[in-house]
Amino acid sequence: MSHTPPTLEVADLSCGHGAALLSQVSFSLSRGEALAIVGPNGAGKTTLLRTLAGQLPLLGGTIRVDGVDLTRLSAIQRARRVAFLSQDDAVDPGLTVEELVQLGRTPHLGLWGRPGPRDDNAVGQALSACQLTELAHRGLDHISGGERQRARIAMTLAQQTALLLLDEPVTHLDLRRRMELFELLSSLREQRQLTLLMVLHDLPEAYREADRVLVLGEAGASLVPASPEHRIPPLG
Amino acid sequence: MSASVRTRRSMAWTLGLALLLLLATWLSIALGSLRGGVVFEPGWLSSLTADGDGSLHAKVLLFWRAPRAVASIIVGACLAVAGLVLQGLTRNPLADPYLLGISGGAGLAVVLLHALPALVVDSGWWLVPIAAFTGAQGAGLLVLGIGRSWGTGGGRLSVLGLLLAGIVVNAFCAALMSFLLVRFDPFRLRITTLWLAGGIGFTRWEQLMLVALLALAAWIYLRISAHRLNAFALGTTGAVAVGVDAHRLLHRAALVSSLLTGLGVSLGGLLGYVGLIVPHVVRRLAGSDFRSTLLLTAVAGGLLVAVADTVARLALAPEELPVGVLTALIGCPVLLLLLRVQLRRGAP
Repeated sequence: MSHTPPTLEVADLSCGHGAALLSQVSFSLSRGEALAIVGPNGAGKTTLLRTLAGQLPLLGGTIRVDGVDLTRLSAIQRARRVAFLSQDDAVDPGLTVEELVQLGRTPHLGLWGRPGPRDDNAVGQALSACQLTELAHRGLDHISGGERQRARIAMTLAQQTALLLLDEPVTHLDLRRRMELFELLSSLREQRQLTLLMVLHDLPEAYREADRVLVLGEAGASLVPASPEHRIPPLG
Repeated sequence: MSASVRTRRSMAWTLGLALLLLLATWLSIALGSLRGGVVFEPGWLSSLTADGDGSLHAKVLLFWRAPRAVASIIVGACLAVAGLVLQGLTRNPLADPYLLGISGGAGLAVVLLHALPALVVDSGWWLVPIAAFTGAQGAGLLVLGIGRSWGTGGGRLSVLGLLLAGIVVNAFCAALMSFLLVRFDPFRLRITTLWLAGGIGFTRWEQLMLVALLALAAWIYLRISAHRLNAFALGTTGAVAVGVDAHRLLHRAALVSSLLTGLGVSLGGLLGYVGLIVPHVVRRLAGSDFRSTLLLTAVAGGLLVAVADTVARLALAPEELPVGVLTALIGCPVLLLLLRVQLRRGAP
């Protein structure tokens, strides 16, 4: 039986803004696996995700992506391995969908920043995977909230990383758009063997969309399998 | 419009404006004032070749009109590129070197130098750009320092903090300049006041060479960083997520903008609105990708100031208008228009 090395290994992780908010967090994720992080407000969900993305300093423990210590990587090397979509949508609305997706290629560009055929292909594939090809030249201020969120996800796909960290990706979306976005993420996991780590607020949604759920609470972090009995049938 | 179309459009505009810039430079040297009237000398290049550089006429062309034309191009390019970068970094369309107090710092340093006339002698020409550069960097660091202390925590800069810090530093520099100017004798006061109003006067070729080389080095740094500067459109968190060391780049690019502002101020004084008008026009023509707008902005800025300086030199001949008067006449309505657009969009 072949053994697939974990995409993400987290061991005894401590994180927080200066003082440790979470400590002794350990888990690992295989390629194509999805983990949802849930917990009450202030439990440290976003702090954990931002630490894994290299946006906050690690206070203790180790994070390995494809066997490589994340803290030893430069910002560019890290962005070639880990894509992170923040909760705050601070993107300049004057950009077109294509321009936004092209920014995902930033860590792959050379000295003068000229995109090559590989970059164009990656952008084209990301647009196509998120069904945005026809909207490519549309301004972000001229598309719906769901399309805009798809465009942001397409940008992270253009980064061509094995690990995708999403902080509350469906917040502010109505039920229909949430379902569409989860369908998209599910198909991307299958097609690209993407490993997903998502912060979600809705517990049933977390059990439905992930393979495992990391619950953050006062007692610390506990990993729960999202077994079929936990799953709720899709709506509609 | 696709990215490739925008790139082609940007190249076409750059080429077109570069040709216009060549024409404007040729005209700027060909046009002069004599006995209260305007003279047009289309054959200036051939007369220069025939006369050599010994005649008075040749000296006027070689050491007065030509360096002034080149200086106006460098001033416009420096200020416009500084404005483009500052607007991109702060994501504020109203940010320009003047609003952030950087040009005020450069102006203060040069006024301080003029307060010590023994230093500004023939052999000390190189002190002016160095002083302006130092003043701009000092003001830039002060603005960054104050902005950081008002930041969002963790020693990080907030855009609002940066802009407010700029306003404070600008006001402080203006007060110090006024304090120094009241102690000047009438002759120095007139010279310095005209320069402060945006006046490109007598400039040495050596000074132009020094400023041009420093400006070129700054431009190359920005061009190499262009694709990372583009990532600021994602916000600081988004830029870090795509592999940009956003805080380091923010500091370095802000300091390079200070350098460009200092260089522009050293040749053209407190020339306002160039860093505001040109980036806006360029973004309308060619989008907001730094990879294609950096060169176009430099050319367009050079063209604007070259034309404005020629008009300022000849409009009231033999008297000269400070070129800053003309750029302000264009810039004020543009600023009002931009403010109106921002207010309509609901900006605070």
